[in-house]
Amino acid sequence: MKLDKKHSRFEELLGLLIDGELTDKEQAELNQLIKETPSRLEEIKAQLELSELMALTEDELKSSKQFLISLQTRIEDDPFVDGVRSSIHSGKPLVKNTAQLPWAVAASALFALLVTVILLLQPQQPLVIAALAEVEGSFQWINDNGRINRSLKEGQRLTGGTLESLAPDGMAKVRFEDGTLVQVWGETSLSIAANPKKVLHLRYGNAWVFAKPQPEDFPLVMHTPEADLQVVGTIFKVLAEDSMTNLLVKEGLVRLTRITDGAQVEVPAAHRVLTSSENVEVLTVKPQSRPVVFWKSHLPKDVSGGRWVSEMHALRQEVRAAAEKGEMTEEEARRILESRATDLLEENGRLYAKRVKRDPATRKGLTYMASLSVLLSQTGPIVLVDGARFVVRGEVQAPTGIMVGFCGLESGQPRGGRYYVRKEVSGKFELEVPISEFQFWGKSLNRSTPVGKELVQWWCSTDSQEAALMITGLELQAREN
Amino acid sequence: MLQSNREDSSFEAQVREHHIRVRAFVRTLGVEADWVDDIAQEAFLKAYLDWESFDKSRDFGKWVRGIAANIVRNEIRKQARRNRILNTDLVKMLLLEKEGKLIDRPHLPVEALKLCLAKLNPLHRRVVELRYREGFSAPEIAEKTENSSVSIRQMLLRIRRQLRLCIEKQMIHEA
Repeated sequence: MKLDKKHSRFEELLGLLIDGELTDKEQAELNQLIKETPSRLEEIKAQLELSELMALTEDELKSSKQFLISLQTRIEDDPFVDGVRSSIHSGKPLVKNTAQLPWAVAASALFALLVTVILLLQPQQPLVIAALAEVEGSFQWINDNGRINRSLKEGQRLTGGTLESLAPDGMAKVRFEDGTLVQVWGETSLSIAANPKKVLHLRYGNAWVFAKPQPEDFPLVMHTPEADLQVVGTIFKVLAEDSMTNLLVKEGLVRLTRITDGAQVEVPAAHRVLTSSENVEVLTVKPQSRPVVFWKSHLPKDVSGGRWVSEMHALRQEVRAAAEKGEMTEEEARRILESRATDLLEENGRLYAKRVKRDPATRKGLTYMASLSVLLSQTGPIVLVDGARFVVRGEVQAPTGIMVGFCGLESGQPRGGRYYVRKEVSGKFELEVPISEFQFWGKSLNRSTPVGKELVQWWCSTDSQEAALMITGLELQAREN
Repeated sequence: MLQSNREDSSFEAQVREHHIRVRAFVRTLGVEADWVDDIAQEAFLKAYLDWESFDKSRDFGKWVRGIAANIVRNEIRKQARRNRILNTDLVKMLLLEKEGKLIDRPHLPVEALKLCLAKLNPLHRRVVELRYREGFSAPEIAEKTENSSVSIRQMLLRIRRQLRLCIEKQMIHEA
């Protein structure tokens, strides 16, 4: 390889390294380039340092305040500091031999420091609003003081704050004092206001709300980026994104107010309404479609996790990269695009699995996941029947094991579960997996069959980065009679 | 209690003063972007537990950076899937420098970086915001800006080089 080619390859690999996207093969290639020219290490350090400083400057989540709060939480949660605290409470000495006496003295001083800090930080008891009724998969709770808790347990009491999923394959339930239950799944962020009235903010994601009758003066209110929902007592399902809110009411009545123009509609049982920033016409309440047992995913619409690349876009990128590298002229690139444009549909393409850190607290490693939210393109429920099967089409660059999973909920009931199956795949693949092959994924007490449940979320993942997993199609088929 | 308060606020003041440099330092050792704060906090936590015995006349920042370097060294021994670093061999090379030189790397002040960021042209500014403020990946930025992901990554490399030069000029000017 010529020197300038080596340099540009080094730069390409360096860019990937900074983004954490190097494959094992590319890592080995980069290491070889460094061994050949050790001064490249200095460039790597300089780039990494600047990258971190830019993140610190731009990203609010990396602000000094946030860092100090997280550090404070970590100091309080540290088992050593905790051990010191409980030994002092129980009156038992922390250490038995005198050689460790300086530790005990230091520990007592630390405890005194902590008590002072805790008292200063918590001048009054925060108001408990709700409790976590169930949590399956990776979630975090960020309270109103910005403290993050990633070790969530059932029964945990919640003050004001935000429940966020860390991966699209989880589900959780929040129960309020009056028995109102909110069930969330997939990629979701749900904020609960520190207010005895139930004020929720579904920033994005999916939720089933099972509301107990609410006092007329204080209805349950759910804000989404596109609309405000006011509830007196009802069961409804809602999906929120930046630019749309899809509301399906199962029982009762929900009043929806579109934020952009204040337009209001009342959505009765078995009806739905969709607000979207792309469609600013009159809000129309429609009856829900009948349940279906066959379904073909409209991937670009249903994607909730992963990166969708249409065939047309992929071709545009390929041609542009070739033109930038000098492998073809601009004119040739334009001609190729023009000649292929008619054959390629924006609707066809690939859904690339995206890196997901399942659980940063326990460091359970990385996985690469593509996920679909069924509610996104669907106007009625999709029911899993006996004998139904998923047909999954996709491609991997290296043979790998994949996990295919889905979340099925009982219609109108706060019950349901996650189900998964493991398969080996290589190259282009088409898998046909009957739902009877899927195993229940959760606590055995809640074990149930997927038959009869509504499909709400689907995902496919691999632990291999090199596999570059992509999904090109997904169908649910019912048994032929 | 008064003594305790003083001790505590003194530790907090040290964290406030040094955390940015410690975090940037951790990243230069080849730690994955998402794990930098985790490792930096671990280093401060260890420092907190030893705070009573720490000789306050010593350089606190240097001490914590030394602790952080040791945490990263320990990461190399972990199984690949569970560690928090980009690449074991690369981290070994990055840690090869002599301890003193390693933890004394000149610091780039964030204030100077902010001034330099303000001088970027609109396209570069937008790419920086998409990458670092909004957290989009290079392929996602490529889609939004009608570019290829390769050219977005190269653009970011050039921007970082340009910013470094600008910061160094600022530092000379201020000196």
